[in-house]
Amino acid sequence: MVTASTPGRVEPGPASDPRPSDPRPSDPRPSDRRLSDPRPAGRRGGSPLLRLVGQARGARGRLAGAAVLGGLASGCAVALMATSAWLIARAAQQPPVLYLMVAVVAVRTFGIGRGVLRYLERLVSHDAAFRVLGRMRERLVAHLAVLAPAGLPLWRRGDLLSRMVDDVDDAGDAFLRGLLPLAGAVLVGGGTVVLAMLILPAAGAALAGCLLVACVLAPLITARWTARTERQVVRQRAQRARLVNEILDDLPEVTVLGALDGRMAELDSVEREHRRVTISTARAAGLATGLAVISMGAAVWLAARWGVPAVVDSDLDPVLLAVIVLTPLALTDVVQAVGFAASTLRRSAASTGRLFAVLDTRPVTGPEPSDPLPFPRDPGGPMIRLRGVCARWPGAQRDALTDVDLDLVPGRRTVLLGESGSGKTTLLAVLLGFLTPTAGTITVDGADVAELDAEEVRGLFAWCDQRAYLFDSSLAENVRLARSGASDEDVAAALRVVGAGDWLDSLPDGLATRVGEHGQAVSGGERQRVALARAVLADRPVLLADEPAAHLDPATADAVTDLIMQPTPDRSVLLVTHRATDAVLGDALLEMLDGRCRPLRVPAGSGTIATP
Amino acid sequence: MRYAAGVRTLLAVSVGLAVTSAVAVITQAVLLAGILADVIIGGAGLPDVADRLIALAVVMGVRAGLAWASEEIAKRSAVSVTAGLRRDLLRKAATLGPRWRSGENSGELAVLATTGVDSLHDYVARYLPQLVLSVLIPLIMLGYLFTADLTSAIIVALTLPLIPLFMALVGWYTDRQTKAKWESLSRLAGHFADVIAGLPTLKVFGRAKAQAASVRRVTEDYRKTSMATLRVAFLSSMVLELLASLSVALVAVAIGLRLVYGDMTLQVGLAVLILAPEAYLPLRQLGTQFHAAADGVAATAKVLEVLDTPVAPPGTRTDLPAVPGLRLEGVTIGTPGERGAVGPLSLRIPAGRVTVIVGPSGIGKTTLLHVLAGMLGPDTGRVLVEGEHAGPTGVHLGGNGQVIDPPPALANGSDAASARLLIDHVSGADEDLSDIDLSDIDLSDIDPSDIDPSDIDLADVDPAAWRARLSWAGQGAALQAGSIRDNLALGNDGVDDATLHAALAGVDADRFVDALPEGWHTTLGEGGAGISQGQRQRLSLARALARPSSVLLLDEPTASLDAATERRVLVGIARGAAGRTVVLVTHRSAPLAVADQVIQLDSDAPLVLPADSPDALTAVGPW
Repeated sequence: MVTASTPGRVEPGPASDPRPSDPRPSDPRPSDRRLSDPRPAGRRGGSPLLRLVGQARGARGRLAGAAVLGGLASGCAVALMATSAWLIARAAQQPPVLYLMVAVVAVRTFGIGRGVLRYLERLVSHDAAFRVLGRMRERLVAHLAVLAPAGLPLWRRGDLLSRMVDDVDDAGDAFLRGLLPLAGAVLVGGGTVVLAMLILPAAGAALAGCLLVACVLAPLITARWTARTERQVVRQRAQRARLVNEILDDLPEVTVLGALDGRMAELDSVEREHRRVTISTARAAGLATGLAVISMGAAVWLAARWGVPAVVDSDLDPVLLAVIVLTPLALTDVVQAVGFAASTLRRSAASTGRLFAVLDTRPVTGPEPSDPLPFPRDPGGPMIRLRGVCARWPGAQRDALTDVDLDLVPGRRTVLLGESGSGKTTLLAVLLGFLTPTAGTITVDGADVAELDAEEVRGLFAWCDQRAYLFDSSLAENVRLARSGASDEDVAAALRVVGAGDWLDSLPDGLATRVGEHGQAVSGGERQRVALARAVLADRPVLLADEPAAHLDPATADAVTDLIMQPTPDRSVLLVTHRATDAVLGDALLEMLDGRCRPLRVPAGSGTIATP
Repeated sequence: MRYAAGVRTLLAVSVGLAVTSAVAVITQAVLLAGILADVIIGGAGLPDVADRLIALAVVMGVRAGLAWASEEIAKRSAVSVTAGLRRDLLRKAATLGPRWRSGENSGELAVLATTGVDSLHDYVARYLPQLVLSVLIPLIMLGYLFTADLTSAIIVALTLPLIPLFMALVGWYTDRQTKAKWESLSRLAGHFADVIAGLPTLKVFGRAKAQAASVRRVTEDYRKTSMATLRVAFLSSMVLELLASLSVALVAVAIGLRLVYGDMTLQVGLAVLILAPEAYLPLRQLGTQFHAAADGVAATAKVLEVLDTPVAPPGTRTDLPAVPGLRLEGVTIGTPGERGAVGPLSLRIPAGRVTVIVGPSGIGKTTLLHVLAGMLGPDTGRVLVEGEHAGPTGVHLGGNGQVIDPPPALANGSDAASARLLIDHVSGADEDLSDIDLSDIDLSDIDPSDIDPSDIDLADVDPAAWRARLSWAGQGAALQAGSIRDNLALGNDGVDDATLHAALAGVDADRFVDALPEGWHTTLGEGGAGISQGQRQRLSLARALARPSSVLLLDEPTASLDAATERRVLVGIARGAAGRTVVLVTHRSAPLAVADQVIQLDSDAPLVLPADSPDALTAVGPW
């Protein structure tokens, strides 16, 4: 429980780590399962990396181009060595210089070619990666738009959200530093083997075998060893992060109690254990490196061993002996690139897997009606009625709402009191169609919402959250999202209605002021007023306010609550709160307790709130 | 320092490995060139070259062994260095106190101590050894080339220094380009994160479905602008690659032409051809490793910044009053106006009384406790320790015996004084407070008075002596793996069972502890796992109460408790407060009931309210 990742805490794990050379395991933390927890669809086959390539439609041509360019660039280095060897060996036979001119030109061309081709490869591959990532992001957003916000714990846990963003970048890494270098290496390695085969089949076969050892067996040893120690390393990282956090978070208490030494000793023992595991991994990495070096040496040695008798037997031109013996020396770069690519892919495979887990998650809301009823437009409405509604969050053990009855009537302001965890927010999620009830009915003017278009039902509600989300954009855009096409005047008017006029006037850039993460810091009160301005601008018949004053100081909290509870004849308001002082507000008062809803005060002359 | 020693050992070993492997590479090249030359020109057969082939195999084996050794040694050293560094960092952080945790540095130190120090791993394991290689190997290769073939040596000697020079020049120039690239990439990721985080809002307003297209559009825009930047940024690496491979081509062509005219032998020509790329290889690899090391370099700078932060010499005075009070005079932490900044604060914590501190989050309540605990020295102003009866400074007002101390700011005659209102309401916890009338208090009567000479500046106090006076119960419960009793007795060696039982009962923790299968011998997991947050908090509180201390600092001690438990716990705190100076920081209203004095921290100046003033109640609200 305690070691489970907590938002805001430092977590171990290289999810956002762009380093290509690190053979650290990708971190299957407990939360990974939770990310896909709600309803993982039956696993679609195939490795995540293959599916990622499948995502690359539209950029495939570019990716292939980048792979070929990359292969040619490394190929230039090999060709430079091969032609140089030929040139020098042939020159030693002292032929007329004219015979060497082609080779001289080729050597220079290959000398220039590597840099130029590598440059082109970088441009094409980055362009392709941008396109693939754009597509991936687009698909994710489209799918998340359906899941939001109940389908995944992303919106309740900031760390999951930021990790998913990092995961997308990692998926880009999979192309740039993983798949493309690998493809290039296969092209060059294959090409060199073919060349060697043509000159001396035995040397070609030896080179092929040695390349397999260096590029397949050595990375596999690293991968297997990493996989073996992965669980320990992840656990130790988590322990270490927990201890560091504990030492720093509880520093006053730990110091006052003189418990620092004990904590440091505990940390030391974790570090010792970590050191032991790391050293065993280091040995495996060393073994793999040594193996790669010796096998490439073996390729050279075997070419010489079999090449020399071939020359003696006149099966091989002596000049070509230099070519087959020296060319493998130029493959060192390629072998190294494969090692880096393999470790990048190990890391990206987990990130990519998490992304596909999100894409495979099915929505928690029921299927949309294929043929929705015409939306009721009752002139006296909308009258929203909940009867016996039960609801349960995905993966939860028990219902968050049990048998809830509630009426939202135009002109009536309802206050819903309750402790945190009593089901208040669940009720709003059900009303907004984020969560489908497991039992009971919700009707709008008598029509069951299950039969209506969900977007239209949602169109009844304006929403003000505990901490309104501000996008990293202008103030105007942040309000305007409630009604696209609203003029700046409308936006300003809405802000003035909610008492943000003075604030607006005080901003040097007015409506164009950037707010949100990279813009001006906005106080809690201003933030909530932006949310209310959205509600005003949206002009919807029902206002749902979910603890709008939860993070405000008392004076601002009162001001914001008053704004929400202003009486209006044709609008209904549902204020969810746990401030006991709000109980005196509104026309009706209900209390939520353990998912059950109980009326405390019924509006005069109304019998519409059914008593349980 | 230990980690520096680890790095030195690694560097020494790396030098040894680099020299050995350079010699091995040269031997290999000479052997190989000799074999080829003899076969190609001299018509030698396998038996003629057999002994050199065997020698070649041995050299290759040695090279593989060296590669293994350098990889393993680098990683081993890296893990020792990072572990040592983390240790020193945390020790230093403990000495520095919570300053690095406050304000905008919040969380940064934890990140630094975990992922930051981890990123040093690659710096130590890869970059540093590579740095050694890229200095030594080219030099050794050049040395060989000069003895073997002057022309090639000159070509290499002229181009080789261009590579680091170009790296530096181009790196300096492209630094901005690369930054621009990462900035645009991170802006892109930022927009994506923004849209996802805001999806619930967008969905309510019917805008969610349009977002996929918007993300695509933004990505497309960024792709275009980024590609324009990258076209320039990648030019630099092209120049470097070009230099390395073109000079090898030049060497090869020059050798070829001289061989035709018989100006050199094939063996030397081949050896030089094999070795020329080896001279450039370490430098090219350094470029690759530099990227991996960049994080480590940044982290090192930050770690050193923390390690090099000067620490004021600790005070030495131990002549503390039995029950100290505290007075803050114009105390500030951080730059006023910035987030996390506190003060200027001038207020008094009377000895032997319960002071409750309220105020909005982020105003610096916890930081104030850190200051009182002496873990955070004020940037300006000072903290004074007063005795129980310190300062005959009060102005006695009419009949009901309230004492008003002049605000020190007034005493100092500061301009800001008028903005500050300091009313100490000093009265017993059991006294009926309802009859206090603020209108009784006439501030114009306050007589600025001197500072009691017996006051001690907290900066002069021996930290250990001060800590021995303190108890602290914070928001995190600071429990560790072990039995409940061990946790309760932490920092309180030799405490008897009766005291601990009484403390448990005092905070309503006795019943749940007794209900556990093994009572207080029940073993808790790491971080106190096994019991609820509210229970952990009560254990922490019991530990603080059981400790023989005269100053009790409580940071939101009832934050995770339900209302009924909170009331019982507060009764226990009020009992435990007898004869102690208590400072209790809270968000909630219930703790006001035990207050002798309420201090409301506000963005302007602390407002000190009598415990029962209606303002005190509204200041808190039932959060």
